[in-house]
Amino acid sequence: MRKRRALGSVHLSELSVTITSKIRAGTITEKEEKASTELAGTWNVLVFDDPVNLMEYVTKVFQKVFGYPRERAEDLMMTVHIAGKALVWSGAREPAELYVQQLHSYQLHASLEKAQ
Amino acid sequence: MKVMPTLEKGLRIEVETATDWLVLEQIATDALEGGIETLPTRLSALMDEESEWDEIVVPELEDFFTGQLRVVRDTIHAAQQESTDPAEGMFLIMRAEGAQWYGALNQARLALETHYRFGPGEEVNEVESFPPPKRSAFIRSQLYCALQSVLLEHVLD
Repeated sequence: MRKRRALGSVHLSELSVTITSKIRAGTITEKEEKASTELAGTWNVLVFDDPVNLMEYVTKVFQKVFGYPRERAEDLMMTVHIAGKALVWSGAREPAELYVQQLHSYQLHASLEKAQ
Repeated sequence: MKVMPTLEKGLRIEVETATDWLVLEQIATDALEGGIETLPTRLSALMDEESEWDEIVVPELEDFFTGQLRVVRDTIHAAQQESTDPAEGMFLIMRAEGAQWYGALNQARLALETHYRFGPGEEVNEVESFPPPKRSAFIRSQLYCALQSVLLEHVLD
């Protein structure tokens, strides 16, 4: 992770402009290009079950972090509880990292994986 | 110990014995005894190395979790100082501090679970066979869980 911004202020277009201008100027390095390719695409945020966090708490956290309605948050919580994990959000890498950080701050076991 | 909701969406805790104080003091102690790895490190175990999670996020989370424990310790310490009877006393968990209390109790339960491996749905008759330190830890964990439930129901949004 390179840089973190407040959620909602992620502007992928800025990143695109920067990369494009670097390509035009011939200053983009092979390493930067590889890193950019690896981080691009869709990333999944996963939450894992644990024997400590209370079900009602997990539901509240999903509502707070993702802004999900109560019903969806409860469904996701039950998936975590029954299946052992749930995919709770998918999207670009940077907001996905911010979501995982927030979930960790609520002491939930969460991680990122690149979508297939 | 009595736990009552207040009209301001907080909790009033009435301490009735010296043991109550000991158990409350144990919240922060338990939270800090989760083993060699800190909670943020354990949470970050699933993150890939390229994310630089350990360098950037873990230190921030450590500060954040330490802050939760500080709130709990300071509140208990202040209440003990104000109490005229060393075995009794009371304090309030203000609505604004509800999340910190919940987080501190969660840290304590996560640490106890990591250390003793109670597992989900531990039966009471199994607890009888636990060695004394584990039995005591299990009872504290149940008390912390009960406090969390009250916080969830009456204090947290």
